[in-house]
Amino acid sequence: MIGMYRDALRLEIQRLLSVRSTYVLVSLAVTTAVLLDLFIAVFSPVGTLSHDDTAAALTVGADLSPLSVVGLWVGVLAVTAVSHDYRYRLVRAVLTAVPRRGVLLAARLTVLGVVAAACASLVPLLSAAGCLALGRRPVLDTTTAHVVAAHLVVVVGWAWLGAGVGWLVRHAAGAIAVLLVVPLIVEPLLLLAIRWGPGKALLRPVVPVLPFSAAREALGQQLDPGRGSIGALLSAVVFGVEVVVVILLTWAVVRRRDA
Amino acid sequence: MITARHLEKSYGPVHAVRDLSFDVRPGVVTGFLGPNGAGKSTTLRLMLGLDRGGGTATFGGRRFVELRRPLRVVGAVLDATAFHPTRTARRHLRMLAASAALPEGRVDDVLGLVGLEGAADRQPGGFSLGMGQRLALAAALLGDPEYLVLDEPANGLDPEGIQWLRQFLGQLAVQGRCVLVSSHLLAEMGLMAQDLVVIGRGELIWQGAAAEFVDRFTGREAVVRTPHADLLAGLLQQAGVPRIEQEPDGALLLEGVDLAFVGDLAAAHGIPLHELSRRTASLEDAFLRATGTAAEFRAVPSPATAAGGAW
Repeated sequence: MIGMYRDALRLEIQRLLSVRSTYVLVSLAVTTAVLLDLFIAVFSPVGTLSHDDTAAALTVGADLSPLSVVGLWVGVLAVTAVSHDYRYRLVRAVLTAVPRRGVLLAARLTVLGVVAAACASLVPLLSAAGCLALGRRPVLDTTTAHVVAAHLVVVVGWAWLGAGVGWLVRHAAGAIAVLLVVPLIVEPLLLLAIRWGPGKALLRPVVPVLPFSAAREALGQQLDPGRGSIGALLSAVVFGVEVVVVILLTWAVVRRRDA
Repeated sequence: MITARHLEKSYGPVHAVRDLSFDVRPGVVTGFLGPNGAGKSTTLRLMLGLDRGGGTATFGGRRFVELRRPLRVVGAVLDATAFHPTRTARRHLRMLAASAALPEGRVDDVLGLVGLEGAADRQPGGFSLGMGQRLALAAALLGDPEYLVLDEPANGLDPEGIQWLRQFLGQLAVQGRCVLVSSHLLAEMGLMAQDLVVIGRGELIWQGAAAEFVDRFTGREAVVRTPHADLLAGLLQQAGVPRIEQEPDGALLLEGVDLAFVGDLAAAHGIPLHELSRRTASLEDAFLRATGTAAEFRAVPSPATAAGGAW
């Protein structure tokens, strides 16, 4: 099985590196994130940045925003990596090369995860260098390291969610819509309902398990441990478990589906 | 040997493939025939584990999903347009070759084999259907497989390409490989395949040698030309010949009769014969008779055709 996984990994690496869209989306992820980070830094006071400003300037404000900018781009990359199989009917050619669907799924998630982690590592490095060049010194301590690490986990989660939704929906536009609608519309509406709606007492326990809110809290509570109810680590675990649930659902569907 | 046993596939209440079993021998090209909607492509996908259904198919005793590096054992052509339009032909093949740890040189080898070396670095989005077929065939040949499963590989090929494909598959079969080819080009299949598997409505109609299939489903007809057709027809009828028809040009068409008997009978009655020969039906005739009741989709003849008129 390990040998099959290695073979599938080689195919997936070749597959991802041999289309232009990968380079375009990775470039967009890194450049837009770094530019936005520097934009945040420019509007911060000159000199050493606060913890909050440092976190915002290294993760495009992922501790406050419903979207992770890097996460969104790698999510789109993951969606296209999967949906192209269906759009261009490659799925049969790929499955005749790697017939074990679980092995193929694991290999693709690994490669996408590595690309996502690379983007999530590169962006804070470039942003920190940019901040220094602009005269805004970021606070490089354990708290910042935890925020950056949590951001990396969230970005990898976005990539896997993108792949999972891509497999389930099999259509790029539909999958990207899901990735945008849930954090930008569904979760904010739920939070509004919880705050002001009639059943707010009943819905309040749902707040910590909303996936994208949990991802945001995994970063934000590193900076302000008192702002949430379950803590940064548990928020990261909640987000991670929800990503795993989507992957398991994907696996259950893909293994039974006709190619 | 490729062995398919009790293959089953349903889409809701519709049985696409029903208890289908057959074997594909090494050393010959086996044609896989059936009318539109008979379940040919579904069967091939079932054999490769791409569609979920019942039954088993084995390649040298092993199921496809059990193969460690399937490209090295089974080559498959299922769709001539299955490629990313901007991934060059060479990169497409490199991607697949990577899954079987094949050397990069093998990619250039198969591109040369199918005549695509000149288009290796072109994006296949601009390929013709025939070039797409060649690329799909190159992918199937990457691992120098012992088994080939090809779904309509001649689709989109020009006459030269079809001739090349026929010779190429024949060579592969002669090397002792199992070659299973589905096609709706019956004339081409008549030249290409030594064995046939014929299905209709997802069920097996025939498996065996192509020549036997034609004999079995058409019989062998005798053609007789004589200036005294009516007289000879009467004598043959008295002799118990089961089927006698007269063609518009006056020739008699006989079935179930020995040529020597017809010759002797005519000589005994002083009837001159201008022609006495065997007419062997084509694979198409046999196919149409074999699958006559199994066709899922059938065109309604135009009134002019139905009435025997001409355009």
